[in-house]
Amino acid sequence: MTNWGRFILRRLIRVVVVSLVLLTATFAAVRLVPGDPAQKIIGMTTDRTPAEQAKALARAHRDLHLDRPLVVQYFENLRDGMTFDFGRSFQTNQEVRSVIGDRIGSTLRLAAGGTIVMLVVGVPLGVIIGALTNGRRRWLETVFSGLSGFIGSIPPYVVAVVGIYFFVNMWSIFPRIPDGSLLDDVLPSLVLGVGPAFLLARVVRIDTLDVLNQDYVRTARSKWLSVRRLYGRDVLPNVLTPALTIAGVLFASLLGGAVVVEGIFGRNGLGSTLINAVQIGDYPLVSAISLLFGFAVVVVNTVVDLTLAAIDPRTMVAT
Amino acid sequence: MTRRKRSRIRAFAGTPTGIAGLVLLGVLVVVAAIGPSVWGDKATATDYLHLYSPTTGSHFLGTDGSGRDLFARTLVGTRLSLLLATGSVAIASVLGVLLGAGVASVGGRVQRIGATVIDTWLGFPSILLSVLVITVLERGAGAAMIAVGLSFAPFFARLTLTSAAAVASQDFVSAGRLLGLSRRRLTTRYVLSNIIDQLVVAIFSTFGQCLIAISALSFLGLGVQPLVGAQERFSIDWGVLLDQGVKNFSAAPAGALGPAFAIAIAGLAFGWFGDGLARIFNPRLTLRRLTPRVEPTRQTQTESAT
Amino acid sequence: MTDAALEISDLEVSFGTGKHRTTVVHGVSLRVEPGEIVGVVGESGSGKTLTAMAATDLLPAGASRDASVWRFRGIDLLAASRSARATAFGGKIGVVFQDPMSSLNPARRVGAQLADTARQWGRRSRSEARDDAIDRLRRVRIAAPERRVDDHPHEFSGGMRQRTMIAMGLMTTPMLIVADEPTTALDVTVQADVMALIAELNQQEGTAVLLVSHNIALVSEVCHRVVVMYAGKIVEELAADHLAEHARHPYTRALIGSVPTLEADLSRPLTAIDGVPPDPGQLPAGCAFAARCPSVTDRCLIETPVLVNGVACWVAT
Repeated sequence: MTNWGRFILRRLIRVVVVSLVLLTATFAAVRLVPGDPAQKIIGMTTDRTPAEQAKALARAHRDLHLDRPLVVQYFENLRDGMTFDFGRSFQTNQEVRSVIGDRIGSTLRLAAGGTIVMLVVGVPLGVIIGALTNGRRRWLETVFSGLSGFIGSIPPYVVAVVGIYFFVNMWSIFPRIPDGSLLDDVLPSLVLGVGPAFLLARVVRIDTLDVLNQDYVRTARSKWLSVRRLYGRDVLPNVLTPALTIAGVLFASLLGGAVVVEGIFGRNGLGSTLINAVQIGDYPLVSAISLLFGFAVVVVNTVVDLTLAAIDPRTMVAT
Repeated sequence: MTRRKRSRIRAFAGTPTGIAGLVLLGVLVVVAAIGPSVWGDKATATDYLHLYSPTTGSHFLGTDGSGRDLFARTLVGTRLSLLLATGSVAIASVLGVLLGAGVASVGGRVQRIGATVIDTWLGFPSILLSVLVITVLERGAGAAMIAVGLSFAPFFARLTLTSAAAVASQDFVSAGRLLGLSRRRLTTRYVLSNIIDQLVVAIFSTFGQCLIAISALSFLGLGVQPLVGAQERFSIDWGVLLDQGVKNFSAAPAGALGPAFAIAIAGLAFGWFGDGLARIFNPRLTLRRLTPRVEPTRQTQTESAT
Repeated sequence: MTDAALEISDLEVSFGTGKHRTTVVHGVSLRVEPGEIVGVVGESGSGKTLTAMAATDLLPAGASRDASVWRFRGIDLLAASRSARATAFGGKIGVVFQDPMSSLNPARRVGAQLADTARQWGRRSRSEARDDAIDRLRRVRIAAPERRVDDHPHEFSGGMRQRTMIAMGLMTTPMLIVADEPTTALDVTVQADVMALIAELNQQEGTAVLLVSHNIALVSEVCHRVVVMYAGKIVEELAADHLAEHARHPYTRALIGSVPTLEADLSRPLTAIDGVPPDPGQLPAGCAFAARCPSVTDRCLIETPVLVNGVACWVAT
């Protein structure tokens, strides 16, 4: 088998293993809930006759596989997870799959927007500051690490509140009521991406300094390439390797931020749905959405690994 | 005072951000201690003649929809926010270190599986983990504290595991193994005594993040559940205040901005203080600060090799 | 007099600014004629590499250069802008560095790294540059260059990488090749190979070579002229064939003495030089070599010798 074949196989195995860990964790979480989760349905949906009530309870038991031995429950749960069949929401009786289908678009746009802001701001900023502070401009280094540490440590929901205050209330740059245009995604994406962007820029600056002092950059300088060629071909690809690794880690926290921030912007996405589901104990929705988020993190990290291998084939051997 | 201690204090004093963090933390602790008793009445007194009042001489941040003073409420919220953050850091560090040491002391295949679980746990967005834990427990301040503690525990577990691996590869540990000491005894004897410094730094850098996470949970209605009446002053944290503020954002934006800034400042204070501590415990960083910045790096690299 | 290939006079190289400023190369003048092979010899820290890097505009960040004359193929570089220096050097110089393992970009294919110069300075198209790369790889005796051109550097051996570095210099028609310890990191069997290649280029193409090395035996074999550096200064400058018999500076003689030759009596230990060189940033008064010199006099400890008739020594002149 080729190096690539082996590498992809190893990464796929890891995705499967981590997905199993996630499925097991969500299974354990829901099973640990005190009392009968099926009873919760009764509390949520009213106006039923006693006979209907008993039928509904039995169906809930069946949906959650509560009528089977624990081991069987576990494997049924695994099967449900793999086919992404989580039954119906306790609250609305809607299929979990269709609820997710309705809400996922908004969250995807938000996460993608935040990631774009993180990469488009973070990488160039880090490279530029790195190039400017290579062996000189100590003051810029101090200012930048102070500033980036400050911005990077502010949680996204605080950024959101401050952002809405200035950009919506004071300066009216963005509409108060979402109008369905792409503009609705801009402020939330900026809010979500700005913190990770500065954290990324910190790391990229240090990597840039490191790369600029590598022997192969001296080789490139000895070829007198244009600045565009030098940075584009010799510096950037080597900076991207560690930058993408960090971006993968930051993506997880960005996704977490999206969960918190959706409500502030009045977005009806997976995050706000999840929070609502937790508040009322709608377990099928809770486990499905958490699994989906966990899976997204695993997939993104795998994509990062594959991209790294494409940029620098040595990483295939190392891991 | 030992020489080492004195030089450490000097190293800390040499970091302006560390000092700033320490001062800010001092202020926060004082506000937390006296908050509910000093500003409690003002924070809970309703004034229906001054609803959604803007900033005035008597109301620094204005008032909310019941005429309660928003600045006083923010100050009162300090206590619960800090207490819950402390609790969750305690849970995270104790649990994490125990787990890391446990995984480090078993070895072999079990250790690898343990490490994979810790890394998966670590890679999972912490807010989602907290949300899952709260699903299991009943919503409330205690649940939020446990949830945040659990979601930050893998951080300490990884730290312990990594240090254990580093220590285990050193010669004196190999010697100890040759002498027949068990892996568990080696772990506790050498690893724990070696990571105290790193642990202290980690606790303070995690503190701010835990506070931010707890506030997020309260903000989402999954953490602190505010009581009404006389107990209110002890049952509001910045997250709850932020939630109330965001709900009335157009009428009184200060209601959200106050707690938002409080959370940001507290997070920053812990971060700065943690950085200062890290400089103390990491002499390499301190050294870099004290020696002239420009060193002939290329020269040492190319010339020393010739 | 025709223009020298490379010429630099009264070169000073310093690190830092203000009170942290340390000067490590002191008033070095160097001239490489077209077609000439000049060797710069010295111990670690003698400033030989920095001299070569300063003359070719490759100083590391944080280092600064000062000189009274600086010309490359007759073009004045002292007042030239960065882009003017790029036009002067671009495509006309090849540089081979000490460590072949780190001097090639690990993230790029070998062929692409070779093609850079041809694309930028030879105005070649992508496919022409690739053909050139294959041709030059063959020229430096890389087997199956059509296939290896798409390899990444980590798939090459150390000797292959060093030959690739030379091939990189050959993508255009360079006037000067600067080789900084080109064989130090290589196996003994590969060393001769690489040096033969450099010498061959000099003979066939008339390319001038500036060879920096700590190895005086190697330098005396291939060079026309040798410059000996000690603690940031030139102590002796002489024709390579005079090295064995006519070296005058005690340091040069000590260097020669530390080289094993076929004629040497193997039962006697090699003459090694006792002690360590001073920090070129903090030179003592008088001659920098005085502390280690076997023929030191009182004058050597007080007065700094200057380079006269190719040697900087009170005893030798």
